[in-house]
Amino acid sequence: MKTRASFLVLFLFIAFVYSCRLPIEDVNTSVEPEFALPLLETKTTVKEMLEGIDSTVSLSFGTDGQITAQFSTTALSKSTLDPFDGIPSSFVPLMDTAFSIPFAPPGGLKILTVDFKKGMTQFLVSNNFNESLTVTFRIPQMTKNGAIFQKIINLPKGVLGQKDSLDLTGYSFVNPNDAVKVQYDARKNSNNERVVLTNAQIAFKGMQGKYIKGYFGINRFDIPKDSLNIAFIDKLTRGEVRFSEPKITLILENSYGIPVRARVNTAEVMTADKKRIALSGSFVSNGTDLNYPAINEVGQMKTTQITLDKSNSNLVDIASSRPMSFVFDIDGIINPDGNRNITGFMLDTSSFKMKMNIDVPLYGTVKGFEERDTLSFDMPSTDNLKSAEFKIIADNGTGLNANLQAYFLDASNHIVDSLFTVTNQTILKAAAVDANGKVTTPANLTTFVKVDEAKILRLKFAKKAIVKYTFSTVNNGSTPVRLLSNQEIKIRIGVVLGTRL
Amino acid sequence: MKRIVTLIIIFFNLLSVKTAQAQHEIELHFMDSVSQSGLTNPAFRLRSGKSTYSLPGVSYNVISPYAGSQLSFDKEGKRTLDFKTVFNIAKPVSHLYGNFEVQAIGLSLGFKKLTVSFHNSIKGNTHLNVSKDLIGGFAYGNRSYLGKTMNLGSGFNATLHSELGLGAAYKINDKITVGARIKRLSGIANIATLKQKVELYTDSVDYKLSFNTDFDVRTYGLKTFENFGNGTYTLGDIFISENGGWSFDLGGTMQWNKLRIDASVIDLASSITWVKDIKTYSSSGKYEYTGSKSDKFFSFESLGEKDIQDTLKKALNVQEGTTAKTTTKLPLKTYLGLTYNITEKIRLGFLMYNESWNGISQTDFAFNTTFTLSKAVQLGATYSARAGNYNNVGVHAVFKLGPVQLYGATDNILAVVDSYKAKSTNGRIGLNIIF
Repeated sequence: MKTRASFLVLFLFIAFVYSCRLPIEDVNTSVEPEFALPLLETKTTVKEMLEGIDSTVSLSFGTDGQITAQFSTTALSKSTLDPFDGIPSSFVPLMDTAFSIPFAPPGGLKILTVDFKKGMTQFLVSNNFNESLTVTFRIPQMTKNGAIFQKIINLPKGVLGQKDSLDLTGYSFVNPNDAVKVQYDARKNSNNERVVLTNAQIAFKGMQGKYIKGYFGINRFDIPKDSLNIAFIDKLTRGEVRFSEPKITLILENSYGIPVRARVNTAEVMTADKKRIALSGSFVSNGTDLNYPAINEVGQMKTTQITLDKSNSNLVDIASSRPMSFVFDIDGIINPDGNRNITGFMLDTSSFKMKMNIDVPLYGTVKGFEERDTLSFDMPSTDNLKSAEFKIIADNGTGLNANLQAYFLDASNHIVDSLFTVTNQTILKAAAVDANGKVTTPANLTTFVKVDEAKILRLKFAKKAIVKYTFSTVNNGSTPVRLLSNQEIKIRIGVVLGTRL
Repeated sequence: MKRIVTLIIIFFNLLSVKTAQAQHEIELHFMDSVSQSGLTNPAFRLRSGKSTYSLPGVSYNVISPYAGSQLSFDKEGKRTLDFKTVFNIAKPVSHLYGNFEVQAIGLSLGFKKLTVSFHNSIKGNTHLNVSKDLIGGFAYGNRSYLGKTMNLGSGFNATLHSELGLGAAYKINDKITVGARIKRLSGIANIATLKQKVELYTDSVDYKLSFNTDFDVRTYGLKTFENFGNGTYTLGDIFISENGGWSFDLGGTMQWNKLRIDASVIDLASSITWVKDIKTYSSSGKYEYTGSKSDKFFSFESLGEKDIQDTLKKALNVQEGTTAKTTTKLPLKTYLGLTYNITEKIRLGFLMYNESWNGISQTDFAFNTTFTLSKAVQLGATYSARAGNYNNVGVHAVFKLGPVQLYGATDNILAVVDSYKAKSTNGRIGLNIIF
């Protein structure tokens, strides 16, 4: 009996121990909490968005916030006209003690006055007498500091072809009659008897004027052909983009005291699709006369500004044609009307400079502007993830709508899913604008993106995502809007993660 | 995350407490035929006066304010914890408690008037104060709290330590026996919250998270916070740790014929001074997390590449640091008992048990009847009123087959019958060899 009782107790004991086992291992959990988390908060101004988009463009920000894309180039030209071309540089025999040498450049130029920057007068004389001579050359038209040009040469007896020279630097020359009058006075040293030389010659070499006054004929300044890279505009013009206020400003600076007319040889854009579109307008057809310093304004630079805009050219069409570069070739024509009564001047420092600015204010309409980006994509671990609901809150201070779509591709580049079921989901709603395209009331839009379990499963196969977003201005791209530097876009993205723990 | 969930599961299924204190075993006190009863009073000696070698035994004590059946349901043959139910019945703050003890070895040498004992145990105890909103966070997530503030602040204190004890009981005369035990404590690991304020507000529009924190978590003996539960320890760390301390047990019994009075204090002046691997994790202030500050619109690169936990850790601005050595104390237990031998085989007992720690004191009462059926079998039953819970019926059983003594005890037999319906469960089992 005692033995049976002991075994009964032992049995109860074992049962007790068994019952006391912890039931942890048999317990499952039934919990599907949903966690709401902020993922992204970003705020940026239009200015910040545009900065650094392209190093070739300069953006200016007006006091009213207006953003303007600016391109500029400068060309410089100096006259290749040589007024001394045609003036004999070889020795001219002096047939008498007073002799006139023609001083008339070709091409109808007329030099009235020259201040020599450099040059040399050379003399070649012979002495056929049996005694030494003293020869004094004089050019009354040339003076330096009030003194008339004079050169004294001593000729020993029997010397033939002796050369001598005088530097013209600093001499001024007046030329009323297109001739240089040269005088010489040769005398025997023994008795001061004046004689006529059997051989006396003069030459003018290397003449350069510092200041030349006269009439310079009808001539041309050639400004080298150039092109301006304006590819940035192309970045803004995918889709239907129309800028309302593009402008080209030509600033022509002229320090020649001569009438000059700017003449356009070539002005055209090369578009992204390899087309050439010519700039048209009055200036292109007719050119324009430039301001120039008057005869009493020597050393001054006169500026002429020419503005091309929607009122006098086809710039709006050109700027909206996805231009890549602007090619231009402009010359300056001197005395375009050939008026010989106009006396002008040129300095050795005179120049003709052209600066061209292309300004494209970011004001216009956009429709279907598209941007694409390909990103690597690797779905994060989703062991406990049941669903996700993204919430995109966009506060938009611009007049731009933005649509978004993303396609997820597997390793074989097959689309496994898309972010939205619709082709283009609006995630940025354009703010209302006034008649000048300025935002009056910012817009707010909240968009939800739901990712269910099936989508999560599909996205596990995705290796990359093609993200496409398109922009348009108010009223489906029909209302011009202004992009101002201080306009702001704020985007917040939160997510509710449905989990199964 | 799984580790946290597992901890929650364990505590909600197995733990219950009305106070934040540890709860010692009641039933063991009445098991005078088992040498382990001396753990409640060092003056206890085996009535047989024999020596005992204790093989490894375990005890556990887990208490929760909720029964497992309240929190779970059957799903395809498996118990499934229902966090929503947990949330619905949860109090603003749920106090959870659990401890365990593994006695590795024990030796009790009985002489005529003297009994000398030696034991080694590894003990762990955990207190957890869980806020209702934290449970709500697990059950529903913070989506259900959009536009509201969640009070997530929850405190915990978990200690793992070992003790080497050397004790003696001396029978002064036929009436009086006194005993004492000195214990060298070795702290293995401790993790505790000194401050626990964590408030979370989730914006209903953009889900922005706003934290208001003032928490201070300290860990000792852990290389890192994440190491808790996964630490690797050497025997030296476990038995003679640098995180050392001492503890004392004192006790006495007085016998008048059939009546015995006993009194003891356990873990007197006990403390562990933690010197190794002290780490602090704190956060104080108001912090906001609004998401990644990317300047890229419409870019997926900025989404999901950051680990949320790291992000939240940054959002909470958790500061990691260290601090000087710190001393922690163990609860002081006091037993005052009466037993009356009605016959040689039937004994009645009464126990008043008090435990105090950190200024909180709790007193329990228990009534016991023990039947000694034979030299081989002893059975006992105890009714106890513990921490305001009045339906605790405990049992114990001891039987001896030759020199081998098997014993088992629980303070709540309901948990043995159906653990899912019990708010608390505990037990002790072990083997002794008596010689």
